Amino acid sequence: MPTDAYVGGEPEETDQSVLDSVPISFEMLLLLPSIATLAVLSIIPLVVMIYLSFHEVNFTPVNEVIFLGFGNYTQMAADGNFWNSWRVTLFYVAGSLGLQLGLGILIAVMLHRVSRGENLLTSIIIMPMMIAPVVVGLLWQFLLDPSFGLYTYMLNQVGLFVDQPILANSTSALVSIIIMDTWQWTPLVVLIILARVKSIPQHLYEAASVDGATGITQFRHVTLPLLKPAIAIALLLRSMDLMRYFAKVFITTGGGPSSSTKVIGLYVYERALRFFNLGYGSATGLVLLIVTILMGLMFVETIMGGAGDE
Amino acid sequence: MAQIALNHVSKAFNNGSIVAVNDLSLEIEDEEFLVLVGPSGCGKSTTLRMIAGLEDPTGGDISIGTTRVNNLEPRERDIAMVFQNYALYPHMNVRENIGFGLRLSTDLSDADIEERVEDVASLLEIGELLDKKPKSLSGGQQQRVALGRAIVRDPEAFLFDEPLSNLDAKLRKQMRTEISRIQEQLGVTSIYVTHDQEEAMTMGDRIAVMNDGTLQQIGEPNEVYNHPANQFVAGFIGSPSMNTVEAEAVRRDGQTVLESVTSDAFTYDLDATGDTNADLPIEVGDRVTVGVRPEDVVLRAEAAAFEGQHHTTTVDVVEPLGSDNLLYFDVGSRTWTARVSPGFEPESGTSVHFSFPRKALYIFDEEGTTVESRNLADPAEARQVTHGDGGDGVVNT
Ligand SMILES: Nc1ncnc2c1ncn2[C@@H]1O[C@H](COP(=O)(O)OP(=O)(O)OP(=O)(O)O)[C@@H](O)[C@H]1O
Ligand SMILES: [Mg+2]
Repeated sequence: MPTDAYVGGEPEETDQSVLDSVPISFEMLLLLPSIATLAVLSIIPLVVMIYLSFHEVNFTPVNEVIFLGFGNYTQMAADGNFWNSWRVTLFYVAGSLGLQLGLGILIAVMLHRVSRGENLLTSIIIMPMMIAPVVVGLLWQFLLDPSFGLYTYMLNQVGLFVDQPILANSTSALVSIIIMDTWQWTPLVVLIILARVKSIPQHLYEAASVDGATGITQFRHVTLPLLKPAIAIALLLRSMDLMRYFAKVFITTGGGPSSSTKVIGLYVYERALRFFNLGYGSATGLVLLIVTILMGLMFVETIMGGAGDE
Repeated sequence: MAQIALNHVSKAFNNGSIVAVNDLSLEIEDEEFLVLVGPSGCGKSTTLRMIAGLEDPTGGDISIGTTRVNNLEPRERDIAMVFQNYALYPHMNVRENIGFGLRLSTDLSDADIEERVEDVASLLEIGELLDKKPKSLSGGQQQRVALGRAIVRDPEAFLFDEPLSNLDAKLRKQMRTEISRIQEQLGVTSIYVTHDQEEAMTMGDRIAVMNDGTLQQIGEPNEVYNHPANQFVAGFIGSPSMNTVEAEAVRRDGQTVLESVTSDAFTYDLDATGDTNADLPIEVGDRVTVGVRPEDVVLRAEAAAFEGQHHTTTVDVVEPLGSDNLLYFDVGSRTWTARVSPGFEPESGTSVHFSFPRKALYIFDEEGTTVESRNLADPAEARQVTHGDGGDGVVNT
């Protein structure tokens, strides 16, 4: 039989703290230093960049800023060099991403199978990542040098590039900068993928092998689908970095021969800081930023979207 | 369907420093349901994994049907396995999970696969879950999917590795019956690993008890329960465990008496009941272990209730189970359990009297081998130690 149980009264109102009456909360105060840092480093430059992209900026004979509206953007659309740089970037980014991801997955899966000395091997494999990009550029320039480069010598032995330096041919120069970046950054992909490979439970492979899967079908139906989130992260990180690729090209080919390796990052740099066309440079930089963001969103949506509920 | 045979199979890990399975020989009949039971770490999973091909034996032969399978890959053995943690593919929905094996190992058309998946799903009553991912299913539903994945392939044999141990008690009982029903319906040879002796007793056509990598006994559930091959099996099968006390055979007043070693708390006169002990291979001076099943112990509040020998003890704890009460009391240095009727619920600390029929006695020799096991055609015989109805009006069942 239901009876009426004693239910206590409502809890008493707690006293209003002094901070409650101030419009800025204590937590916001704590955030202030980081907001300030962010503002100085990111927000202010971004605003300035957007502002400049609608203007023409001249330093000589006097500093002047002329409003152009969308003038820089229409100029860009008609600029053959601009489109060429995007074409180079497309090849370069697609080639590097494909190579780095393919090699990265392969090496990670193989590394996972190594039973002894895995940690040592991993440390060796990730070393290129720790070298500064400029140094990597110098290193490769040295290796590819037409007169004393080791790789030039080796390729010469099989009859290649005897009459022309490797970096002087537009195709081989593009391939070279792709290989340079792949050499340096595949290890990052390996690390990201390896962490995920290790987290795939062994019993899934056992279940699959009982279900009739061979090594290859296991990889295709178990490993690869479960690697999707890691692949998305690797793609995201690498694509953002590749879009603003600069140092290694700057050091080795300088964009040549005849703009065949002039990636968009180098193009923006030249417009803004070599030809001091700050307005136009800002506009191209802004386009680069927007393209990068859209690309990142695409990777997250298409690849992670499907595997996100795993 | 096929029989499975293990012939002197051994498995050692770490270059022989860990012997997980030691010289195991087993024969599982066609369509039989064999339960492999034993304590944790006794090598059950290793045995099953060797049959599945997930582990290579370090010695001996395994055959499925008429084929020696030692050198075959798991996928070539035509077996299905259900894992303790289900091992469902997280990126596939239920439909794909169940159909995966068919897709890989047969050349059935998509429509045929679909049909078989639907059939199995309705058999397991998971038809409405087919488009869900494993993550959104409950443990019991996941286990059904894992079961479906095994059933759909119509394999030579099912291998189960503690498939129910992640489920709650009620669901476990329900799935237990369901697995038994499906196995019977499909008639697929099955090996079922568990460390739960109750599961073993209720599910198996036969039970194989393992300990420390060696087979202790194989037989039908009742046989293993009533006639355990040794003290380990006797203690492992049955819940609560068999009561034991170490004793020594002595001659007293012309009678053979078993006297507890640690204290004089317990003596049992073997001749008192008039049964012949002529064929009992015990000599005076032998050290033995005496065992009695909890349901064979008769407890009464008054000594007068017993015709023959009985002992006095103090009730430690009473555990009411609803259908019975479990009473705990000390005999020598051991705690004994008695299963009594729910009406008999003495306060803890009260003095009570207990005895058990001569026929309920188990005797194990110093190596633990069974010398005598209980010989009760009907467990209710236990009552005969007392005058028909107990002095306190309580009948032990
Ligand atoms: N891969 C391995 N490497 C080394 N030792 C192992 C390995 N697999 C199992 N063992 C050992 O073999 C013995 C038997 O293990 P197994 O998994 O077969 O036990 P089990 O009877 O299934 O126990 P549980 O009921 O806990 O699952 C254990 O001592 C275990 O430590
Ligand atoms: Mg196990």
